[in-house]
Amino acid sequence: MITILARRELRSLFAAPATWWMLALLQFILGWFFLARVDDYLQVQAQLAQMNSAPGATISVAAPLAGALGLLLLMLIPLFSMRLIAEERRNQTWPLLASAPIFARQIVLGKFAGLLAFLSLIIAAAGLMMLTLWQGTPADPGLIAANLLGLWLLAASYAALGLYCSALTRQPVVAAFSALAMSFGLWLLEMGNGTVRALSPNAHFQNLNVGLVGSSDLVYFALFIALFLLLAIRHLQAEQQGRTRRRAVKSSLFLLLLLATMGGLYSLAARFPAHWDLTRNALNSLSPASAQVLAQLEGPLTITVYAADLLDAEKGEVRKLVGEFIGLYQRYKPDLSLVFVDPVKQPEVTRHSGIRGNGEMVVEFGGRREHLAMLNEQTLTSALLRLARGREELLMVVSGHGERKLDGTANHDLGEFGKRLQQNGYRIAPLNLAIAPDVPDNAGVLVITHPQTRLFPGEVAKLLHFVERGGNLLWLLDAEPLRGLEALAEALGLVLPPGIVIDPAAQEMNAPRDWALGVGYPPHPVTRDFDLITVFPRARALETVTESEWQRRILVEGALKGWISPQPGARFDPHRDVAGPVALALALQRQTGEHEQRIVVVGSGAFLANAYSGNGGNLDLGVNLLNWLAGEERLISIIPPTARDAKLVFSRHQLTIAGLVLLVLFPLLLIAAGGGLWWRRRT
Amino acid sequence: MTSPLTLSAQHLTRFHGSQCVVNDVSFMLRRGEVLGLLGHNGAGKSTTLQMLAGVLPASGGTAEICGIDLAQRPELAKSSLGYLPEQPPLYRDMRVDDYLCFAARLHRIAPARLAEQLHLAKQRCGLLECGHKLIGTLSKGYQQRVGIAQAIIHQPAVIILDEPTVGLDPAQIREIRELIRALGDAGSVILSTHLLHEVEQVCDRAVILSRGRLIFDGSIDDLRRHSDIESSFLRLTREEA
Repeated sequence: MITILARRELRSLFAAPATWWMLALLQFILGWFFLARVDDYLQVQAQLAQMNSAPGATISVAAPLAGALGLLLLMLIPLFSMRLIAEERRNQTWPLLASAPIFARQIVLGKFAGLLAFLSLIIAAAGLMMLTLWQGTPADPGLIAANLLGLWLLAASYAALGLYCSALTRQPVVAAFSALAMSFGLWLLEMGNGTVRALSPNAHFQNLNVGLVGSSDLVYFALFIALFLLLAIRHLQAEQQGRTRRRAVKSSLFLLLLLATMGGLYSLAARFPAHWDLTRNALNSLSPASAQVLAQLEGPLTITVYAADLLDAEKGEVRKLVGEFIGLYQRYKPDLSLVFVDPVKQPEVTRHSGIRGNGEMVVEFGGRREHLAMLNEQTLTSALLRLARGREELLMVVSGHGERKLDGTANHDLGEFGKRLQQNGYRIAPLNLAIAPDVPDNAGVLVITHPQTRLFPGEVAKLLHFVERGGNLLWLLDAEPLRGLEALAEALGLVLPPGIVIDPAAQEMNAPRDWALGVGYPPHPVTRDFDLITVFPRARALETVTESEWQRRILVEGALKGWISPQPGARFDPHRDVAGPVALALALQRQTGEHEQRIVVVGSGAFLANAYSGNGGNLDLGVNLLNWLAGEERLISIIPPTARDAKLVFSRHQLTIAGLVLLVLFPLLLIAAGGGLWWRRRT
Repeated sequence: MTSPLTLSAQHLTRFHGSQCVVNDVSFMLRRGEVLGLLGHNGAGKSTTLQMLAGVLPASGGTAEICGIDLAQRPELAKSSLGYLPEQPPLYRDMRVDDYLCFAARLHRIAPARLAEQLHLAKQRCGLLECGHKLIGTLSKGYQQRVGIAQAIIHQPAVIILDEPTVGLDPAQIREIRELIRALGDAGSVILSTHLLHEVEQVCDRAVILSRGRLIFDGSIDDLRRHSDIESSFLRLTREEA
């Protein structure tokens, strides 16, 4: 019976010329909006490509399109929903349904289903428009699916609300205006906070708009739709049974009970939230590394943000953004509390905390504090990591022979890398072997970069002693004489063939001839889930002796089609050169008592130098190496995934055709269909 | 009479606000009968029929269709009911066939029997020629026929017709009256009118309402017995006034 009613409703919608004209207008607006967004994206994508974790085409085009359609639906649905019941009353066709042997709920559900089927067609058409993105880029299907689901739920909610308004009156115009006023009012509630905001369908749609499906959002929409359908059914039932005082009391009690039950159900759903991030790159989720850090933090965590009140629009925005960002962490750690302090209203507290700017924050956990001036996942998770660890890992860097410095700013220094390490909770200290009696015991990891002057035998002996005692070591080699470190290479069983690695693959990417690309990562904890290209300038090849007490694993392999050559020639010379592939980084392990000793050797010190560390995943690999050396292999660094749909390719030709079809052909066809109906009706 | 009861109204009362529009009206209808509901404009004829069709709730009293209480089991009682309101409930943008099929499906006619019933109803109402026409393009007389077809397509036991011949030309009126007579032979019909000779021609019994009260319930012969029908109708309504 519901399908019969729904089908008639759908037919009568399509029988009205006005419907087709409205669809033509909607199609034109959406088409225009879509093309404008595509055009915008095409213009800025070159700049976006420079950014770390730039937004993809789907989130830049499809998501705003869905948002625009959501707003259009808010305005359009009352125009369609008003006719459902009010117009039947005004046209005196209502007795046909009222005298038929059907229940009020069948009428309500049938009409709702009919309208929703019609709206689904509109949403499906918008979905098709989003799918045309595939012509130019591998768009994110999960994000599109979440958006369409959100639109559908939003449309169903507005339709249920409009249906209820239509049941209340016999004037379609009154029904349309009351539905519009109510849905617009609910839309505005999105600006509010907390519970007020949670009442707005738009607030829940926004989660789906970014690709996040939350159980509480789904429950909200289901309750919203059920509430207004139930109210409409109750109203029609009361109309058929006649109104008495007793029934009025009963129905107000019913309404109260219904609202209370729904409120209860919703808060239950909000208390035990479940989320599904449908986006391909998990845009709305923390990286596994952050999630792991949060899981390690036992007990409450407080984040105090010093941001001005909402009254100031620009600074109020800070609170909203911070709230959204921290909300992401709160999803993983519910006992994370966020406190806002207004620096203007509470200057003493602010000064006491040493806060200077708006938006600064203090993270507190287990009595320890961490001060943050910048807010992103990398900095916050790093701070949490330091708090979780409770102590800082000491990193000693051999110095005094013109080595690359971890706090230097010169091109050949490793300053950027050092900064990243500090963010990750490492303390860096130089170690002058000429002065220090030995490598200190509290050094978690020792770093050796290539010396420019020869080490004294006494210094080398201290290094060898350190390795012998089971110390963990990162050795960054360059294609230069070892200057006293030959003994160390021998102790590690390393064989260092002369010459540098030549990689034609790098030349194909217009990189200098003496660069090698790290593309192969044999399975190892350091490179788990790591698939970025790394760059090794002027690298030397690493080989090992066959018999050794060390377990040797290749970390990075390169120059698959390349070779080792004393001179960076363009061609492979079989008499002089040795063919690849080549190991660019090695991990060595051995058991010393209870402890597992870990050593990493990399064939290029320049790979982490300031001049090159920004290339590919160099810094990330460097941090991963140290985390593994420090026994923190689970805490690998956060690599913002690159959007696969970041490159949108549409030719002028394609755009012209799309414009003609979306802005001219489709609207004209729809107008013609409506005109045909209108003409047929007149004759 | 021995034929079974199809409709029974007991003490039907309806208030519009504080005004009593229908006051304690009781009557019955049996199979094979055509009952005429007579009265001046505003006597409460349409309100009474609306209550019998389950479109308007009664403020008091009960109505039973084929022994089923309309207020208690509306969906069951309404299945033996066909109703044509004063204004035919027509969707102007639908074709006649589609509309009648929809009405039939609303009354739970099985899809298998749909074509047969549709043909029968169209045949009886003289609509065989215009199944493909849009209802909005039909003349008033044909729209009225579609309205009647909608009320009889599921062959209900009780057919309620509210002023079925209003606005029709004499030839159409005659056809419709013949149709009503035929319907009355198969089931039972209750129709309202303010035309006395219509009652005389098609009805077996008449009920006269005046200002919401029932003032006469008897056969046409009873009504005729005193003198001619018109003067007895006027006498009865005047007495009441």
